[in-house]
Amino acid sequence: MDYAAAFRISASGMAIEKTRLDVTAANIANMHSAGTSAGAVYRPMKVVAATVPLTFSQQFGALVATGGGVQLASVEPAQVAPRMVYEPGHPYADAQGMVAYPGVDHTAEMMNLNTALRAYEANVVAMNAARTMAARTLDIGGQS
Amino acid sequence: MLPIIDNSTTALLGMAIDAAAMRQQALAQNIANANTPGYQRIGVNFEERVNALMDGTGQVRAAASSELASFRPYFQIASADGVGNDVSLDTEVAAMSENTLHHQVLVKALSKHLALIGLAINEGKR
Repeated sequence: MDYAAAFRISASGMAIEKTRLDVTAANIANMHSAGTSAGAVYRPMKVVAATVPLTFSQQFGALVATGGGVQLASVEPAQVAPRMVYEPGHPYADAQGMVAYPGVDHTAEMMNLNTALRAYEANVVAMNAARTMAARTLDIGGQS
Repeated sequence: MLPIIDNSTTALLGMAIDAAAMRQQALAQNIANANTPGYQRIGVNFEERVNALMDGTGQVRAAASSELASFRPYFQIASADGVGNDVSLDTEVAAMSENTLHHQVLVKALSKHLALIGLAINEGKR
């Protein structure tokens, strides 16, 4: 059995959750980045993940799975309206005295942060479990 | 006298260890895709079919090695409804911890079986 596949799958899971964390951090960091106009303001980004299906190949007379895991499909700007704040003295204020800020949804971002964190931890646990199993198979035929 | 070397125990245990390793892969895949939209969780089909090897009294028939080939574990979609992502991390991690223990039991059983063969070879001198 190919234990490297389990490691690879968990590693891809960790990578995607880390990307999710990075993007969430970027969204939160930019929540007060004013734009020169409503169109030029920072748009909160969203991570879109896509599964890499397990594919099967015939090896040594047995069906063996290769591939698997998850990959980054795209990081896309979310379709949210900018937050308009009345700040007449601001250098980026428009004729009505409104300044455009990114429409970052704090609640959603914190939810994303925690979900990504938990999912990352679960991937670490999965990888450790695979490691334990691989180590245990070395005990086959041992004096125990 | 049971044939101790060429019996189905080694083959069956090997397949069960394969199934446990494959299940680890399937669970890792499910966890990796915990936040993938539209993902359908996968599982491994093995134990359900092995029940067919039981005879009426709940004992495993001494199956021929050729017969065992059709009981190889394989991956399958295990999604409950087939719509949307239905992975729940707690269930997957719980299943994984169970699977790891199950794997250790199988490895130990195989070790003991091989030790038994070793004992027979050494005429019980050791």
